[in-house]
Amino acid sequence: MQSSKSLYKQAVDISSEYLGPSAERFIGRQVANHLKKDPERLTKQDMPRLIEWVRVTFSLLTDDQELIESFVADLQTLSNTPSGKAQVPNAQSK
Amino acid sequence: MRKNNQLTLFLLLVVVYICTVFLPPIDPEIIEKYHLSLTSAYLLSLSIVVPLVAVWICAFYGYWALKRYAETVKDTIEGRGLGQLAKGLMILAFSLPTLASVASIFNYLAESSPQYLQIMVIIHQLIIIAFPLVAFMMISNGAEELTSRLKKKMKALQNYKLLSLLIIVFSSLFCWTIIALADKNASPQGVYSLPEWLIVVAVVVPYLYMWYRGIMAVYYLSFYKDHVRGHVYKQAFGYLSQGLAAVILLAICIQFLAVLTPQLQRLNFTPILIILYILVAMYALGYGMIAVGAKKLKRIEEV
Repeated sequence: MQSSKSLYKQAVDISSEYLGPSAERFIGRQVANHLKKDPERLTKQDMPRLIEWVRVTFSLLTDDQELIESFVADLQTLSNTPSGKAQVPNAQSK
Repeated sequence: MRKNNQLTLFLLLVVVYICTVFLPPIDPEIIEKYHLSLTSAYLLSLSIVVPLVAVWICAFYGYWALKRYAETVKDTIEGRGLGQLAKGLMILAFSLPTLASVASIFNYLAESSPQYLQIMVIIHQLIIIAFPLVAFMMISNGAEELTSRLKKKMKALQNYKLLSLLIIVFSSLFCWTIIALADKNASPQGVYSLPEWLIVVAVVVPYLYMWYRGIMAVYYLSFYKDHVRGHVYKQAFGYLSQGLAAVILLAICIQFLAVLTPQLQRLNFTPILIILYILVAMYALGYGMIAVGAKKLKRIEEV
């Protein structure tokens, strides 16, 4: 089944596992400030840059390298999925 | 009030406290009893006051960081609860230098005008209970508001029968400690210099209610931490709830120690100093954890 959610919303869903209620604002800020575009217009081509920025900024919030890598891996899974449908985040199993 | 105004007021209160400690002459009886020189007495006071002021500034920072975060998310479903939490922390932070100054001033007045001792004790008790009582009520309301926004709703307290028994035993023990022990101490009217019925009404009941609200706030925050999503977010609320738990534990310890003041005064100097340093360390632990939790929350919205 194809996901009806935008790529941005799927990225927010993944981020919620790490940032809770702040996830939407966090991803929104990364897209708006670093990619200079409207978050709803996020595309797969933007994902590598977004992931790099998430790695940098999330590192400022936690020293837990495993958690940082898990977050990045979850976003990469979303980026690599052909349909763009979000997979179950790794963080669920932590 | 803007942050700069609040910080100025807070620092002003700290300066007032420092003045109340260092400006009045040191009681010659204390100097003689503990074989101190005037310089060593001032240095010892300084060794308590400096870390204490550092902890108060840490408490102010915790409030300010949480307020900043609450303002950022004020239009979200967590906004209202976090706003109440921040206001409660503000009252708690401002109460630290205020109550310490009030205690010093009342001690000075009690010595200079013993004929007004009873009325001064009543006013002092009302002031020292009012600030933290209002603070813990606001913190508890804010924490309850936060948990009400969770998808998972809180069930009635598990093991409530055991909890009820613990609360009854603790309340009875506290009441007995205050009435029995305090009354045998020092003056004919005891530590509080009040009739027993007034001690129960003006001291025992407000303290027990204040601690109960504080413990409930810790319970709500822990529940929120366990059921909200987000590893970093959970961690921040973990620090907040643990810090608050340490602050409440400290409040309970201080009240028991206050009752035992006459016994403590009979101790040597070293154990008294150790007790004071332990209390300051507990202060640092509690408000330090609150500050770390609040800083983590604030940081999420800054990156």
